[in-house]
Amino acid sequence: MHVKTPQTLTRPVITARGVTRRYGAKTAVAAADLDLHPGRITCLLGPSGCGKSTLLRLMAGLEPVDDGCIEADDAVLSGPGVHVPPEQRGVGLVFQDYALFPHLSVLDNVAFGLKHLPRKERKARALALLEKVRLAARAEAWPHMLSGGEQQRVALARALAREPAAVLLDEPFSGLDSHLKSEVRETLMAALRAAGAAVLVVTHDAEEALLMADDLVLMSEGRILQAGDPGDCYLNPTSMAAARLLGEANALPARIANGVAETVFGDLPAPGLPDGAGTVMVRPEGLRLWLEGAPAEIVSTAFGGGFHEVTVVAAGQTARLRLHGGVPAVGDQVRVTIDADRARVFAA
Amino acid sequence: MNQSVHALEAARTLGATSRGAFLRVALPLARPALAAGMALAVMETLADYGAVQFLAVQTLTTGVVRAWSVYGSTASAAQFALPLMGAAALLMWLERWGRKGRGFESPNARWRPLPTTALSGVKAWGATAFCLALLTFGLLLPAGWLAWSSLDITPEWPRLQRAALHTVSMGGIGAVVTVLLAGALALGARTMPLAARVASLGYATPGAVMAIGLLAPAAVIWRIFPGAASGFGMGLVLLIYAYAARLMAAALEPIDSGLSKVTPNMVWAARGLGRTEAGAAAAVQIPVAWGALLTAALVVFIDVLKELPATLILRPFNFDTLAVLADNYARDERLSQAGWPSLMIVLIALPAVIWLSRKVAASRPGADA
Repeated sequence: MHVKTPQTLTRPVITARGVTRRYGAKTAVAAADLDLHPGRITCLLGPSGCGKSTLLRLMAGLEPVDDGCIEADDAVLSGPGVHVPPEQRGVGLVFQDYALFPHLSVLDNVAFGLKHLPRKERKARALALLEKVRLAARAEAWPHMLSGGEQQRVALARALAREPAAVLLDEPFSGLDSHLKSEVRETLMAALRAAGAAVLVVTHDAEEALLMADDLVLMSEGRILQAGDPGDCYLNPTSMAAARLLGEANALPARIANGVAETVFGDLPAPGLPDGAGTVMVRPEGLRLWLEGAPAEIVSTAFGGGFHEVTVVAAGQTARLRLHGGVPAVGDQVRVTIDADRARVFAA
Repeated sequence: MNQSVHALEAARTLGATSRGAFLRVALPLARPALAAGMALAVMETLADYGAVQFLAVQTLTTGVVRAWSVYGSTASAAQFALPLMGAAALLMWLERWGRKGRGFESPNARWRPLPTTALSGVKAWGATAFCLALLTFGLLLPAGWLAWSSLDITPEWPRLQRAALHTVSMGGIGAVVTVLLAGALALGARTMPLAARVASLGYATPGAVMAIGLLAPAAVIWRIFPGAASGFGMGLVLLIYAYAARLMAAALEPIDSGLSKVTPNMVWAARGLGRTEAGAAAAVQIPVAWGALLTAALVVFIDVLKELPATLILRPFNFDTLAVLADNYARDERLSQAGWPSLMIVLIALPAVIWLSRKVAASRPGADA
């Protein structure tokens, strides 16, 4: 288990402030802020088309910004009238399709960015990098001879070759079979941590983001919804949209009165919220079958491996929960309580 | 030829026989390509000069040349040229439209080798005979007849040799210049597609029209710098210019498809690894498209070998190519003598053509190239 560098002790390698990118009438990225810290992995999570890849491209200098600025070490990389080309940014890139050069061997792919070194040194360094991603044995192979996971690792070794201050990865695992993902991820993460660079991983996979991120950034429709510790984002989302990005969430209608939110499954503290209608966000694991609580009926069940996914209806309100142990049956009358630690109240 | 096997397989699982799948899926899918091929054939026919001239068929192309060479009138040559160019541009648009074939492409198709069926009996003989007939009537019969009638005659070797040398060097220079220009254009066109479209219009322009069109501005230059470029050098430069302008599209197409093997991300990856835009082109795009550049060069080379009208009009005095020589002999009714340069064109072009057709067969996505 690695020890996380506390975020507050480091200066960000790259910062984006109010970065905006428009395509015609469509705003792909709207006033986004993003900090990448050395030695930390930042995951940018959002649904497809939310602008997260565009933000990565802006950081890498593949596109100019329309507004806002991107800085590194007090030097402006992108800003009004300024655009440092990608080759001068010291940023490593890993693409979703890996973008390996088909006309070069694996070794030459990795050595591509080391043109400034003498031939011998270049080769030695490229080999050392391949060693790190456990691919030294395939150095002479051609890219098309490698499996997806291997190509992925070559792409990473290639990106790390120039010892970039920041490495940006666009959906790095989306092309891999699910059983390969965790293995490749571990190799990749280890190599990234060892490099000590600031890392940005763009992904639409909530589980992946939660597993990898030191810092999590949630994005939707071009805007950053929330940024912070993954656990905090999961349990204390700032909006229903942010909550949904990180996994299934029940949205229960509630009545707020005198700092208490009433739902069909029970009451929750809602300090400081105005009286009136509200919404309670609760994760499936935040609803429990218990001896007491709201009477409810099981209307459907599905076997999910280590758990059953159960849909219950109480007083006309549908909710989903996960049941570990026990075999629920449709039609069972049960009682459901809500875990206040795993729920959050929003004013409507 | 770029059809997904899965479309055919889907047709089979939906109850179509092999024959039905061909009629109801493969053929309709190929419709744009067939239209494009037809447009191309018509375009080439419109632009043809040598054959119609020899057989004394009155066409717009011969009209253009005659208006210019016999009556010396650029204006009436232009009158003939305009409908010709209009028709050619229309055909070219048709061909483009056919090839783009929106909706006929299989965007997410996976490519596998097309299943081959071994024919037997009558079918096998029929198929072989059909292919042989094309080859026989298209090449073996005329070439054989030429060879047969030429063998009786001693060729004018020195003249023939000089013409062959001229032909090969013009072909070589034309190929290199055209491919250089087309390569630069194709790289630039990744960001500005319109430029390539405009440059490709030359392909629709018949050689005779192109040549006469070039002579007008050339005359202006001659008038301003009478001594600067000798007539000989200027003629060659104009000729290369005409080849490049006319064959730009033919060179662009293979280069473009070669470059399309380089995804935008590959270029960005190179940029991220410290290469400038030009550096990325030199280190990634050009090496990956190298085979395509060679293909383009060969296509241009072959076309220059047999180009007649533009060469006839623009060549410096006494500068014969094999095609010009054949035309000269034919005009003088020395047909057997004309066989020699014609056969030499075939001989020079044949290895290149064979190489190209193998390349085309291998270029279907999914084929082991």
